[in-house]
Amino acid sequence: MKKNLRHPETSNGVSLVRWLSHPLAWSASQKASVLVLLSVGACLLMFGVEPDLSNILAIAAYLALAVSLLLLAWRRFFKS
Amino acid sequence: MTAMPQSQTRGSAKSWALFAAAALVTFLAFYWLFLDRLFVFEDVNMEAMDTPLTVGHLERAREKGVPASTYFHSDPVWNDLKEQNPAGAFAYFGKRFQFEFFAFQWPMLSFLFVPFVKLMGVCTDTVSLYSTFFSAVAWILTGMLALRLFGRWCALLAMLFLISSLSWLIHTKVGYSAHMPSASLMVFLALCSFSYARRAEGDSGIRRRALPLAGMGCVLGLMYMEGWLVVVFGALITGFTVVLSGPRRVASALADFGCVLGATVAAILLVTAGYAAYYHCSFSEIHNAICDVMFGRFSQGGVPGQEMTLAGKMAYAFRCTFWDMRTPDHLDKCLEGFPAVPSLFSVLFGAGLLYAIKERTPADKALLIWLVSVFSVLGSVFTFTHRYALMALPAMSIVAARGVAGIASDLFRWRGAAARLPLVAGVVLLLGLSLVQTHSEFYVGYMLHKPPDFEMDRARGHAAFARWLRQTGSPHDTLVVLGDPVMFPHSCFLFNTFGRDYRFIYWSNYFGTTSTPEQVRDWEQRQLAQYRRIVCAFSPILLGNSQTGAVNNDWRPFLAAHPGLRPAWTYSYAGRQPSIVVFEIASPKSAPEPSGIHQPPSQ
Repeated sequence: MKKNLRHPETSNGVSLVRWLSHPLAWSASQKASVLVLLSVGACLLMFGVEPDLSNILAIAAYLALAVSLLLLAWRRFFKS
Repeated sequence: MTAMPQSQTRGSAKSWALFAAAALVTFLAFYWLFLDRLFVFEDVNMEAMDTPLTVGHLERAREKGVPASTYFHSDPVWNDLKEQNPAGAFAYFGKRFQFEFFAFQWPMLSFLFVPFVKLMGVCTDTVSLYSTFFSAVAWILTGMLALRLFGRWCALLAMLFLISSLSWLIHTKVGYSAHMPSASLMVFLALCSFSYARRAEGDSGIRRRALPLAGMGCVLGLMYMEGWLVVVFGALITGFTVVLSGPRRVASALADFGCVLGATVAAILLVTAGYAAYYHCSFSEIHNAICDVMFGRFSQGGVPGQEMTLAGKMAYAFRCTFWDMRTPDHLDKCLEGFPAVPSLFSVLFGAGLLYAIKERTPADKALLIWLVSVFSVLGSVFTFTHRYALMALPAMSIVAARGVAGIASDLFRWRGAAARLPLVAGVVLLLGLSLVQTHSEFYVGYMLHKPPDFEMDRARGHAAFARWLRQTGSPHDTLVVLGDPVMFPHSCFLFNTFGRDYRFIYWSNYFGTTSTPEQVRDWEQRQLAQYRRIVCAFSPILLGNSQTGAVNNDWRPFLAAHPGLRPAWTYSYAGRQPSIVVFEIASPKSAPEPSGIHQPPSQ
């Protein structure tokens, strides 16, 4: 059950609740991933209420995804 | 080597015994949901019939020794279809005859169908067996992937989550036949890409990564010949994996891409050359059709008349998966009112996603890449949403299983061994309820209690009607008049009467609301000079075209022309009003010699 469930470098053994309650301690990629999730969630919530805002949020989600993927690739190839 | 302590051995044996029991329950659950009533649903989705019907005709062309395209241009069955239902016959971008297109657009899909068609013929049982076989393959591969990523317990949980999805069950039973082999390829690609990521750690040489790279390339090649969107998902997964988990040097990454490309091209050349030789068609015909469907579909964008914004597309993709199936696509309507995955699956998928973001192990990264590749495309290209979200379902089920593992780990740390029993009991109970709910939603809710104007009802009874037709008359002396192409799609009847080529024409091509009884009777008399009997099938359900909404199945003039005529056969299910009413008009004279078969009827 333990196989591949914890990353030796990124995990400090804290529970999910504790991790969620300390967003400032997240790594940049963790912040980017949660930002994408939040943008998608907000887009879906606003879809029936405010379509224009929902569209802006959808674009924000795609931009956040694109930027985070580009940053990950940049760090992998040029900053390591 | 030191001997293992006795208590540890006993604990390990107990754990394996428990695992064996859980594995048995998992396989029994699969049997209960998928195999127990394997051939129960004979009215499969119309799109599921296209490929086996095409393969049946390709085999016929092969037996006759004629090239596939010649056969599709000369066979009388197709001439009727082109004449009677041009909208259906030339639906794909108005370029080519639809079945000729089907013959070339997905060679891999057709090839996979060949053994099933040879074994069981062209019938709905073939579709069910094919779909269930590849569903089982994808299911087992999902278990293998989860085993490789997170261990044996996660493998069993992922397999149970996958079969708890109503979307998976319905698409296996009645849906679109391309999905299950595509899903199997997606899981195989993920297995290869994870293996590649592990081998790429520490910038090892390309020889060490060559095998998984070749595997990824071959899968991509097969995907190109298997479905127009799955290859896009596959290309994104491959691209992201090489960039984000591959070697850290640009030159090495480019070499890896080259390796994938080489394997892809080799797989494509090998399969298409084999296909072209087997069915006597040209290499370029195949690739023209594949490119037509791929670029045509993307430029099509979505359902005509229901263009959506970026947010709308994204909302549909997620709403169909997690909330309900309110969607304009006719195939997605199979599930209208139900989410693609049960609530327990959704909640644990959300938890698993957070654990994956928190830990970001290589296994988590592989799953996140898969999910991003599928959902980012679904939200941006078109509105046919949840049927393609199926391609992410194996990843979602593994993430949900990962969620259970994460929660278990946190609970054990918080409460120690005391948390074990409540956790196991809770998971078993809730997962069991999810499976029972899915079983009931399909075998009771979907099969018996859908509202009478439910989209899929238009397909119901067509197989039974075709059976009645085959039992009551020869194709040579029977003219079959179907109400309209919306309620009686041509391909359903060509499929269900394959091998006995009846003439099918549409009432709506000759008559409508303004027709008079005299016109109807005159026309029938002219037909009865050629045929011994006319069989007219109508539907009392007034359903319009699912995409345009047009209704053209008014058959009141027929009733006015034949007052008091009793139906020869009707179809209804679960005590409903009949959804198909069939009338028989026989020639007063003796049956003439068959003449004018497959000639256009006189107006």
